[in-house]
Amino acid sequence: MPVRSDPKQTWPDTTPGSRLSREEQLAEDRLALIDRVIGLEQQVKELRKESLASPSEATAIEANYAVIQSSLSWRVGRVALLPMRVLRRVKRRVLG
Amino acid sequence: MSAIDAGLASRLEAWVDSAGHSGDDVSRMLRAVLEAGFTPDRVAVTVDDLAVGDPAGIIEAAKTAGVTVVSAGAAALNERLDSSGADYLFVVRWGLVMPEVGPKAIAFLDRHPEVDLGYGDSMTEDGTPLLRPAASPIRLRSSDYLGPAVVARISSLREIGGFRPEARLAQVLDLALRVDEQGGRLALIPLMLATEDLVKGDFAGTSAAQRLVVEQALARVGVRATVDEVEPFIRRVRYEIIDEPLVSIIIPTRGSSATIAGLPRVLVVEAIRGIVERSTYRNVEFVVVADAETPGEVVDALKDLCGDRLRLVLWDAPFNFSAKMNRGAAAARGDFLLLLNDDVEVVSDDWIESMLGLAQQRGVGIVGAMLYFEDSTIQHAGQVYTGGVAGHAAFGWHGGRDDKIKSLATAHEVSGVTAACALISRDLYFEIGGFTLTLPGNYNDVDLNMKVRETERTAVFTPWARLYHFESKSRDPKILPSDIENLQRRWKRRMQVEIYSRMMM
Repeated sequence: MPVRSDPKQTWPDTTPGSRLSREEQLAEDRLALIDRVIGLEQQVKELRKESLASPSEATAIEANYAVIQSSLSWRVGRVALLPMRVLRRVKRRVLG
Repeated sequence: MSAIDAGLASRLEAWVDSAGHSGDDVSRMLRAVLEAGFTPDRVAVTVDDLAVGDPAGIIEAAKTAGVTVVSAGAAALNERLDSSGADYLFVVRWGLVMPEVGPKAIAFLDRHPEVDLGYGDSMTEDGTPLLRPAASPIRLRSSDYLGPAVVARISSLREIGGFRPEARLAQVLDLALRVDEQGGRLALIPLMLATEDLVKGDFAGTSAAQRLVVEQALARVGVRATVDEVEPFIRRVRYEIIDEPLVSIIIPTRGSSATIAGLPRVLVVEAIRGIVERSTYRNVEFVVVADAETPGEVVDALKDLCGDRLRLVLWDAPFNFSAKMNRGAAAARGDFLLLLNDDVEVVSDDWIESMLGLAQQRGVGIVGAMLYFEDSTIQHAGQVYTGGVAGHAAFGWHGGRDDKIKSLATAHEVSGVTAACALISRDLYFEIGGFTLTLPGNYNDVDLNMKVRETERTAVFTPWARLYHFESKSRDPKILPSDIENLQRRWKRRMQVEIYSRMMM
């Protein structure tokens, strides 16, 4: 919900329009409500499987990934983690 | 060995544009094209008698390479286009295409059949990368950023009517503008497609020809604007403001003071004084959302400065930037909302016109400005999003520095713009729910931009609206883990790779 004013603190109570009219308050509430709906829609979108990237973004991400995979640190990491990967595969086969 | 097989080669055609080049240049360009696997019967050199200083040398180069020479006149180009049996046309304007340009570009276009025209990255001969932005129709009006090699689907070119005689010497820019205009799709192929020599002058009046096709494009879509040449190949488009709408300048404040240039000042008062005294756009109202503790003399000063153009709105709840801005928007009467921090000072008098003209363009959702620190280094030239977080393009750059495609001299599409100074229509602000209350202090503008972009509209930065932003360079924004979590919960997958300001990070 929108943040509400605390009517006890009022510097400009005498200044016309310093508080929102009823209609303006409804507009303020509407903003918060719409944002919540959009926020939830976007969260659901983030959880979906399909790609959200544009053609250019998808290619850029793949190119970045290819650079990482061809780096020395990636390959060293792969070698270092080899025993763990083998153990995991064995475990999967044994336990089904 | 050729980079492509005969089957693929039969789908490709390449035209080498000889404008401004010597016979030797054309010879090198042709050699690169043929080494990339294009077959000579599907390669042509286009020659415009206006733009050729060495026609004999160019014709000799074509003859030696065994390729055809075609007049660069629209009729001859269209005839060649009509008779082509290929799927894709590469136009090589300068530089040397990479050996694997064909497979790279075709893999991209085959995978994305919705794309009509693609362009890619390149590198200088010493290996410096030239990374181009994602499709940017607004930028295209100011700069033909498409680079040395452009590839188009031949069916798409036929659909838009091929080449136009009025676009002589600027055919590629004209095609790109028309593809976009007719609802087609341009796309960056973010892969190295060519090497190029950076030294390039305004050969053969190409810059003037580009300006002309931009003016024609604006006229076709009914946009009234003047196009000024800033430097060869770089243009400033000044859009005529439609209907002079009321702009509500929304400023959240607590009436605080700071020392700027050695002098104490009340930030909000001086920000508004600068706008009142300097801005040439007059149809504005000020919506100041002021904390309860704002000193009475500050309130009085604001009333004196703004008169009946002031709407002062009370904020007497705990700090929440997003909620304050939403309250200001609810109270605003304008068709456009100019979101503004109180620690700014206007530099360019026509800053509102510069932003508003862009905000009234088709497809533009939000417009941001160039912001400088007190020491005149750049604080903001658009936002960059990568790895699920956000930063500022060109942050800390000194005056005069720019990237290789002159981004700081052209209005252009960006991932987002800071809410320290941003213009958005009131309708759109309400359509997307304004600022999210889940991000009270940080990243709320990033979320706002992402919501704008989710509506298929763009965020655009203009270097022609300039302001000082007296935010400390070393300011600790105190980003909380919850800020990042809340932002990423909504947008993480769509903020992984910066695709607009790729050379300003």
